[in-house]
Amino acid sequence: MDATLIASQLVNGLQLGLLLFLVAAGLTLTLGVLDYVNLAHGAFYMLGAFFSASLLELTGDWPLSVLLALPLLGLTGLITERLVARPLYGKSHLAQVLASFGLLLVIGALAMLIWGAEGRAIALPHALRGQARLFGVVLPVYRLVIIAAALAVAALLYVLLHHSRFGVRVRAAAANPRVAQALGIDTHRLHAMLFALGAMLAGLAGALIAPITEASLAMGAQVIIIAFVIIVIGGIGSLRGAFVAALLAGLIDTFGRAFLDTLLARVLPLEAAETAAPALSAMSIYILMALVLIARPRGLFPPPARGGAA
Amino acid sequence: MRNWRAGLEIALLAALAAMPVIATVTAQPFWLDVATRLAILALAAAGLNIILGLGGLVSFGHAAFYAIGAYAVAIPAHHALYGGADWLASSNGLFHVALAVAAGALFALVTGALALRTKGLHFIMITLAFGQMVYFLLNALEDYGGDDGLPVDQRSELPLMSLDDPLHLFGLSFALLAVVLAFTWRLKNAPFGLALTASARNARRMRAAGLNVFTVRLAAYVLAGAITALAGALAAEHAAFVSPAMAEWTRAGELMFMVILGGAGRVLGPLTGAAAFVVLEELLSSWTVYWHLPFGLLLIAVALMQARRAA
Amino acid sequence: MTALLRTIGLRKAFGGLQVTAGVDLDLRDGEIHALIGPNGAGKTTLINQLAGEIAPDGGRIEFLGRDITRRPAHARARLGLARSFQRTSLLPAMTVMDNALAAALANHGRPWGVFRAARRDAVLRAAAQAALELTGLADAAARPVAQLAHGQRKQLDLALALIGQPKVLLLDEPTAGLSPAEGREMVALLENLKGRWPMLLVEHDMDAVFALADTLSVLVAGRIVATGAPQDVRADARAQAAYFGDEINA
Repeated sequence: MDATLIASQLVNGLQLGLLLFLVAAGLTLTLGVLDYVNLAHGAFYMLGAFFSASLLELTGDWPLSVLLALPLLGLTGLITERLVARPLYGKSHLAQVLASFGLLLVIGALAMLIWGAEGRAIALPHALRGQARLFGVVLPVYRLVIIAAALAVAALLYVLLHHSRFGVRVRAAAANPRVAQALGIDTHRLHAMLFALGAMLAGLAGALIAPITEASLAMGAQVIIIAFVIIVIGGIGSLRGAFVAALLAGLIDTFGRAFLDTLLARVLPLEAAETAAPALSAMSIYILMALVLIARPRGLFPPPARGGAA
Repeated sequence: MRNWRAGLEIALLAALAAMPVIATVTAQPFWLDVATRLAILALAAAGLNIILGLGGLVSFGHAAFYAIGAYAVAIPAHHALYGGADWLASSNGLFHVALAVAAGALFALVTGALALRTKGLHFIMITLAFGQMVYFLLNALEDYGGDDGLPVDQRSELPLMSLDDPLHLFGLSFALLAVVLAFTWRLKNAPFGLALTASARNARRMRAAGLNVFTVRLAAYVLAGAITALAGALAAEHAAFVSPAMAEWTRAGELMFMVILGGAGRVLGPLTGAAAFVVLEELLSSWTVYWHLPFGLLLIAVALMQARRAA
Repeated sequence: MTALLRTIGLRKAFGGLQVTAGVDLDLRDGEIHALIGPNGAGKTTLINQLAGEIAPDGGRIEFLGRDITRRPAHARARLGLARSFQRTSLLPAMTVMDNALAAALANHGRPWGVFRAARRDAVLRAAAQAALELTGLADAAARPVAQLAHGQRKQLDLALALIGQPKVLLLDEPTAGLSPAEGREMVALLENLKGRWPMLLVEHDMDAVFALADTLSVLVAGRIVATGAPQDVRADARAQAAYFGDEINA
């Protein structure tokens, strides 16, 4: 385990964690403010990847393709909010789970109709494909770009929620929906905007990861569960919790895959270590969740209890 | 409405029981295959029905139990055929079933003890996460095929029957389904069933009445896990193949669809729900590879209707 | 005579608000101990701490000589500490009889049967029937809860508390929301139960309190400001200022 390896794994872990945060952020906002369980949130992640892939074919400009995907994602968010989510606000979680599961299947099937069952590879511009030397360590440029972009978006999100009228309204609606309504906040519009914002964040994450993994139909169903685990660890409704938990999950997962076998080999016979390590590292974030829940059943940063009718 | 539904349920049960005759007369062994699959899925849903339907707890990780039951058959059978792990190797079907039920119950006991400390949304997501944990664990088991899955090259040996005979396998599946449904019917009206349903309606009152709601729910969760694991064991025999995909959360979603469509808490609900699912899947998927599109739309419709009815 | 139920220096705060500020309270055998006080005095919070739904920040709760401060709600109920709810807490979409059977399960030690129907269990039936008869609901046994009048719901809420043959009853405003006629019926019902069950009675209706209580305590801002025989407390100037005055002016 030399320093270069650790540093590059650290970058990988940060990159994974930050992308997971972008997906989890929208999810924790819709859950915390709207009390709506959105299993279809992962579909936005997948759509982000495919939108940017198609836009890249159209425009030939990768950064532009990512930017242009965002309004499309917001629009998709608005449409699904209106058709599927809004009728289920305040209804049972069971109904929400079923409906958003159905929506996930519908979007998946539509995506298959449009883009086919195969994945789409995305070619990055040359400038982003190389390696860069940072603090004496050679690192892939693109992963650094992802980290920078995701951090910038996270900062923007923080400013938006804590220093804007929109943020004041969101927090008022989260704390007490009835009071928010009584104060004249148009909650329908606010909910729709939040939903669209969440869709754009998740889609951005999908668009950013696609050049590494390629765009695939299965990516939405995979990411959604990890995003749920993250917001459970962080505390449902807490953006700060989602941020911390996403970074934790990204780092633990990456380091587990990279180093757990070597670490285990020090205490176990080599063969046992080689068998146990992949299994353990695959389960690591779920084990983390179980441990957090034993100590703190409402997560690391539970938001204050909601006032009024919940 | 109620009579119409009960009539449909009884008719379905009768049709399922008559399926061997129908398949023989029409010389369409395909029908027997579908019927076996239906019986197994209904059994899996019957397990979920106990915790979701009677207990009102949205357990979203139930596919994990299905997979655990399946691997409890496949792994000992694999070792019996190809050597290794002598303590586990066995081709005895009774051992396989016992292992499946015990493993399902044990996993339910451990995860349930944790998950039931939470409620509502947290419970949904935690069961989901535990289910996914099993999925990734199975994917990581390279010795047992990893994500490719593991074929069951030799079906389990049972006294008096051969599981290689589709008729015997159907008979066993149907009989176990019938036993579990009959048990659910007794359970529902028995004190334990009453404690479970009453806790779903008003846990606070039941605690005030001295009931340890947590233990009752944990017992129901263990029972539900054991039953679905049993179904998984049968599924391994039926498909002669197991894979991590059995534990995927989308499968858990399908099981939930079956329970809700059949009527949560209805004794024969899992049967109608599973029948609807199997028919839809066969019909839609023969009609289009995009069968998730109509199926998803149907799910949304069911959910919107369910929400309207509850309001 | 020693107290069946006793709190010693019980304290509870929500945020900065001290809702229970060092409450010492004794409930003796055979008596009805009424607890009165203005809205927001912390009466229901106190009941919820006694019943085990809210954990106190400090102090102790003793029941039958045992420290039960940290015991969960269901364990207290099993020891014989039963409660009613201010806003009735029933099992909706079930019949009156099924409500009663469900409430009888744990306290009659049989929540685990999986085969015989609960409705056919002689012990459960007898317990349910007895409680329904005591509360005047025997005729309504087959009716769904949704069809009951508010007064009958209150009676059922009380019946569910009685079913486990408790040693002490905690009653949270049994006449709240009732019409005058229904209220009189409830008071008559409680008078009938008096002597058989010691009760801690939270109540707003002064006529009911003076008709029923042997001991009266006044809770103001989380503190007991007066306690004693009802007539004495009524004469107590502090209590008048804190409570009766408000009530008369209101």
